[in-house]
Amino acid sequence: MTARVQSGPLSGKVILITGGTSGLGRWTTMVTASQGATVVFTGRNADGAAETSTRLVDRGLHASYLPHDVTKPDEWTRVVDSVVEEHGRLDGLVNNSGVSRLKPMDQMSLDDLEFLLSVNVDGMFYGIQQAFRVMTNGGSVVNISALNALRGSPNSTGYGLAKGGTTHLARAAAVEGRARKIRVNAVHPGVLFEHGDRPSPGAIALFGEEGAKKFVQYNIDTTPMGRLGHPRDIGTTVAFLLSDAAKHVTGTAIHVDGGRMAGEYLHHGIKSQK
Amino acid sequence: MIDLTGKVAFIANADHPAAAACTGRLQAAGAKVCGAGSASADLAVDLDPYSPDSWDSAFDRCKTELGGLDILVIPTGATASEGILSLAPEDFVAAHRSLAVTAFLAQNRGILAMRASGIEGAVIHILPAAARAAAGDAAAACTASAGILFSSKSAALECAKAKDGIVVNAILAGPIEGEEPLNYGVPVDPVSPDDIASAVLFFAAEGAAYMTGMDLPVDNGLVAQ
Repeated sequence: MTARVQSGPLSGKVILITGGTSGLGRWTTMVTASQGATVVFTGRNADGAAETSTRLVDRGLHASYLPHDVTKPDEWTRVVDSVVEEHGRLDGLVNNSGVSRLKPMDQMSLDDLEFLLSVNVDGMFYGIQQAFRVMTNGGSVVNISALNALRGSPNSTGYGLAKGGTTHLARAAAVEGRARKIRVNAVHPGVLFEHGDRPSPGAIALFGEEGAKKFVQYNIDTTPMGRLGHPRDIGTTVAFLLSDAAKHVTGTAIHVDGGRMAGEYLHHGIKSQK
Repeated sequence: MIDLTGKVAFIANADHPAAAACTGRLQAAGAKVCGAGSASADLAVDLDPYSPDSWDSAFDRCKTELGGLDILVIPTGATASEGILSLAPEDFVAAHRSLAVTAFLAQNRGILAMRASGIEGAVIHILPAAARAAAGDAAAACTASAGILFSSKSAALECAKAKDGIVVNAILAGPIEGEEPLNYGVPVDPVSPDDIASAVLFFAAEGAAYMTGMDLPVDNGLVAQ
């Protein structure tokens, strides 16, 4: 470890973050590292991991990377053992890896369902189980869920089944974590854009240049705060939940969504993404 | 008095502690009942709960032999398991899927079967209150039942948007008499199977045709605590 020592709310804590190779997980890695944590991030994409590392270095930070498929219990054991071996302890786990597949019910196959459940439910359960195993002095686990876990949304009979589980698994684990002083919470992001109001390459590929602009505007219009979220906004909330400042917070479902859950915005004209 | 004369109900899980009461009350209200593996039903069907085709065949038989599919009751049980630390990963997955996949297929294939015949039906889940109130040593049941609850709300929205006249609601049942209660950490009196059946009849009746995506606790106040 050659991490530059940062002092901050997470100083002295060892944090494991899944899916740190892109988007939300990458930003959560950067935020927690900047707050003084020793961070290990995992994922399946080596190029994405290199990009995360580069961005950390640009900010004078460091985190180490371990390849990891969250749907494999054995890999969880290997990853968690490796963290404890290297750093002596585990204080926080961010179950961030997640997948989405939105389809109307006549197109949702059992394979689609299994794909959603294996990552969003099973992977998070394995992570919680391994965290409980090694967090002998207490700790904090954060499951990244989705607004689909808090209300119905079209094309989500499978995704809602998975993410509803993600959120409630956190609550069930919070009940059982009491005896071990482990807190477990769930975080629900709103619509996130990493590039401000500029459409992402993914949105352009999906909707075309004009369609992507409309998509961005639609999401701005349907968010009460009138702006899109940034992955950093979620990272700071996760960092709070990992920190001792949140020592009395457990079993909660927090939304970081610019107010979308407060209004009736979510359902207005969500179009089939074709 | 709720009159369901001429209606056909399908009960997706005869092993649930409220299934027999639901069958009896639906029949008393005039409905014919098709039950998966149920002796007291007007038509008993066998099915493989993990097979979409098997659900499709069962719903087809219900429509052909009893003349409809107006009410679909999907009971999901609540079983405690080992604590998180001692639960084998494969046992968690098996316990989760036995609840989640069954309810998912019953719901989605049932709605598609209703739609195919132009039936403006009512889908009624019976879920453990653990879908809202987390219980200890029941990670799979909590995770599956909350997932099913939000799947049901998504289905309700899809149906509303399609204007197919199908409504989807859920009853959140407290510990039912005769079943081992989950560890909710608070004292709670059990509810009778008949109380659950009364709520099923309410959601099955015309009067509830404008309610969809709703969850109704029948739990002696457990969820409210």
